[in-house]
Amino acid sequence: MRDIVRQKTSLTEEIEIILNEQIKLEAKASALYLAMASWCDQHGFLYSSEFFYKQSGEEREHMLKIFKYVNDVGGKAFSPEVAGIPQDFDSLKSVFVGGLEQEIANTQALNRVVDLCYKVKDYTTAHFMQWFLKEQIEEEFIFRRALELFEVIGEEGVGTYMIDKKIPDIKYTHE
Amino acid sequence: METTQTYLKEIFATDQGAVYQCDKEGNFLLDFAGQTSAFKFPCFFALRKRINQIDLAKMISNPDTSSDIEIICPCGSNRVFVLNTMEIIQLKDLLNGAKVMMELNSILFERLYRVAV
Repeated sequence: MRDIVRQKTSLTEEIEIILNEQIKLEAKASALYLAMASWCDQHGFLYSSEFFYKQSGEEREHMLKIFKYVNDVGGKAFSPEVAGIPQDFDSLKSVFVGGLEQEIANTQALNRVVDLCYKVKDYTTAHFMQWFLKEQIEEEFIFRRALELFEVIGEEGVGTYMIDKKIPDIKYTHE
Repeated sequence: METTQTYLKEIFATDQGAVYQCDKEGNFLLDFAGQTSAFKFPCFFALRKRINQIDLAKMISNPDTSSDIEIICPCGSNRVFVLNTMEIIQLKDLLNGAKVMMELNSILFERLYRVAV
């Protein structure tokens, strides 16, 4: 009897499920950053707004990367439904705190994907996921540095104006 | 010369039906409730997923007369399944049993036939 299942796909059902969950998480992050970009735009933080528009685009690219991988190896990627995205935030700082929380959640979710890959001996997917783990070092770094600006500069007076202006200067250069 | 019969392999069977694999076409045949339908690989697994997603507890606890019937139109098939609660359980057993046997077949291939010598 032919091994049709393996000939059609290299993904096990559990890996396909967890990758689809990751697709949903990346889509949710993209939508959240878009909402943050909109809030920043409305409140006059134009540099932060640009930063979040860019972040939103990157998260969508991450989502598509996993989406295409699932289909490339014979699985079925599901177009995710995203709901419950917060649209209003208390302050510029709370926006960046929310961003860092999102990135931490994403790193932890990616770790769970890789952990499962090793458990079921899917080294191909584990290897594919390495790029995302590396990417998370940069993502968390940028949000941490942004939050440090709130401590260094302070929010009083023209503080938030200065912080907003400094956001595009944050770069991760230790690759 | 091989006959059609040799291409068809029974994967899993219960009292209510059976799932066969066609080695020539690379698809699956589902024999259930007196009818046989062919499914391509993704459609077979989409049907299994759809059946597994049915909330049986909700169906059973709902007193509505229409709640104990589920109508399913699987992708890539002209067949429409109109299933009562018992038939859903039976089909679920059949499809999940077939999936386990397919996995077992993959394990056998990996351990016995594809091992480098």
